Amino acid sequence: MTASSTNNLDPFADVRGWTIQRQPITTTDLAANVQFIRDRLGSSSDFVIRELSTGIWNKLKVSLIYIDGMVNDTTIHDFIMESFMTSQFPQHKDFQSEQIIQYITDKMIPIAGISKVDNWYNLFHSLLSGNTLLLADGTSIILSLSTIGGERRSVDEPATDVSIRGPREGFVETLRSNTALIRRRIKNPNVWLETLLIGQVSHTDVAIMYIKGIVDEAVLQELKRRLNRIQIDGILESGYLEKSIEDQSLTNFPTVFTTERPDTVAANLLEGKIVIIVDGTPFVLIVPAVFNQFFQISEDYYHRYDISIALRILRVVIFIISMIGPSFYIAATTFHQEMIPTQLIISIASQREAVPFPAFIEAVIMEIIFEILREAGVRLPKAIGPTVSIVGALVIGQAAVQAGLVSPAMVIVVAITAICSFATPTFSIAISARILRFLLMVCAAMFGFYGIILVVIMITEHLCSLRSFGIPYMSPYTPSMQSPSKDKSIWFRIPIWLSHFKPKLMKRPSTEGDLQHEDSLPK
Amino acid sequence: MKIRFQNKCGKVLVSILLLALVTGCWDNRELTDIAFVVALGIDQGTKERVKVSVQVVNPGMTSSSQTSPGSSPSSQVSVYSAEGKNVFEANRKISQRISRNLHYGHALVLMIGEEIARKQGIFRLLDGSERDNEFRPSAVMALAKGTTAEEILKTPTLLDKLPAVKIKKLLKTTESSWGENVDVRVNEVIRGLVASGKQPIISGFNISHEKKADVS
Repeated sequence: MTASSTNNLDPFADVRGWTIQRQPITTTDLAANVQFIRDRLGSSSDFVIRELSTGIWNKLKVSLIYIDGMVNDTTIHDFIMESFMTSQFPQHKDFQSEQIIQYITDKMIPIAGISKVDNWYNLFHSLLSGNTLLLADGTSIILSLSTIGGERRSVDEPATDVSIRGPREGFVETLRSNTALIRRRIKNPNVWLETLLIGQVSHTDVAIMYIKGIVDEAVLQELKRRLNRIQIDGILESGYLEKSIEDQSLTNFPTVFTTERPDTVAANLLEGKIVIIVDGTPFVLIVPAVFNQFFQISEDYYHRYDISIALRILRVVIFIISMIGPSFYIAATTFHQEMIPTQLIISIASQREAVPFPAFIEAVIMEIIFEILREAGVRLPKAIGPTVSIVGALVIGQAAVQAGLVSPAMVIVVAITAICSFATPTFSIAISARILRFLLMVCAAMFGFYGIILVVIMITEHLCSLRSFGIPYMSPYTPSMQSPSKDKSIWFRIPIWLSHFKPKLMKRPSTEGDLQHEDSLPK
Repeated sequence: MKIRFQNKCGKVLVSILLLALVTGCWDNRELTDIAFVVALGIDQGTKERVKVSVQVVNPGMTSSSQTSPGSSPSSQVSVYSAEGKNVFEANRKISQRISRNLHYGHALVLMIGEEIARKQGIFRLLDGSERDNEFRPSAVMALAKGTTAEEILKTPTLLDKLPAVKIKKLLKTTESSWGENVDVRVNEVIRGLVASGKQPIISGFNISHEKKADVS
């Protein structure tokens, strides 16, 4: 088959399937191959072709093809071009194209990653990943030279999971850097890495990382099954995967844990969790995730256990306040006035005297204004960020109170709720509370504390019904489980010397010392 | 208009929604619609009737930001009175004079006039307050000695802006540091009245200095 006959099938209509490109490369004509690649890429302006002659008496024509900006220029200049310019070929008359390619691979180009591509699909994937293609006349063998490079963000302190004590490294957008960051923390041959391509158009690299021997094989198989099932055009962020692999979509609680910290990932790997790394995002997914996990941060283990226990209790309190803060105010001031101390209720009543709205409307106004301010603050460029703070502080904090739109007590309640919402350690669980807050406010306005309790019961039942890859979301509370690592609770963070650090996924019975995977050890 | 629910879930959801609307916001009272009774006074009315006085807070006046130095302390509270055949009737009759619903959940003091206590006894008077779902049996109980409960409730106080708070705190303080008076609660009085071989003691208040100073 020639390249021209391949073109007759209109490859452009086949943007998702890539079936044409899965056919093997059979053409030996250099010009035809180059032309096909050029046509396929639509002569894109970042597409570079360098034609050279090499071999005995420079008779063999070769072409180097790469995408500008995705390659490491230094590698191309110093190791590929220089080799071609300076190398002397042995004077064998019978050298054919295949032998010359073999010689180039073996002796000429000092690059570690050289592989042969055998079909068009691999060729384009390799080219678009930043590799340099080497095509030669008279042979259908095409070499892919590893020159992946280009401008990338360097490893930096994570923006979201900030810690006082602990490593300052955070994940970056490059998959390979991220896997290396994890491997550096667990130097064990049982740390296995599998890569697959997801996204029919985008062809995004997705890596699964786990510790063989600790990981629950059933969960691993289920994860692979779910990942292979995904039919999507593109994966631009790990959030796409998160929504596609979670057990239940009709929930506002996260059943997949997200982090930007390699140390958190390493700790989870040791517990038998599976890590999913997506190329192009610093947010790494961890499954299975339980409710507890969202209130634990890696720093708990770096500080003393007494303060860690106190902080974990505080975080649960924070989460509860961020959820039921305003609804508690509504219920207490419109239904249960007798529950508030006399002096306080009189003080609140005198503040409410000037406010024309019912407490519920007042609370909704304030909450919506706060959500608007928060949304504005998140998206605004840094230069005008302070403006929003000033406007927010003056308009909401003072003018609204003086104008009699809201009472000072309501401002305090909303402010405490806002701070609690920000203080919740994991963002994904904080935004769950953000939505539920409004439901709770409506029920509190209708039924008082009774309504709040009803919604809390509903939320609790929902949480108990959730599962993350078969693991009950509320474990180890319900169903109650004795965890071998003894530290699955929100409350307790026992000292490390007591925990022995025997990591097991909560579901499996533990066997001792199976970190050494004996079958795979060389005899 | 035709609305068809595809599944059972929709029907259940709508039923729950309707159920919520049917009950409405039962028991919902905005703070601006209620008047907090901080002290309740019971006196002898004309003939065999009972005169009830309530001391309610004027919420607009208590806020610290709005208190100007010139404002008189008496504006913190208002006293309303009405007469009726029993305590309950008199309480309800007060609504002829006040625009807001009375809320007894924060009643700190139950003051009983000496005259009615001597004539009718206090046993019958406590019946209503014990049955009421709002009135707290933990309120302080005191007698107005040589005067009426209404007069005591109307007496302005200086240190504690609310006279009821003053009475409550005063009894507690003097019980522990001087010991001549006892801090008795309504439920203790009731228990003492119904128990055999036990009689309640109630502290008495009178007004000295012709309303110029506070309650002694």
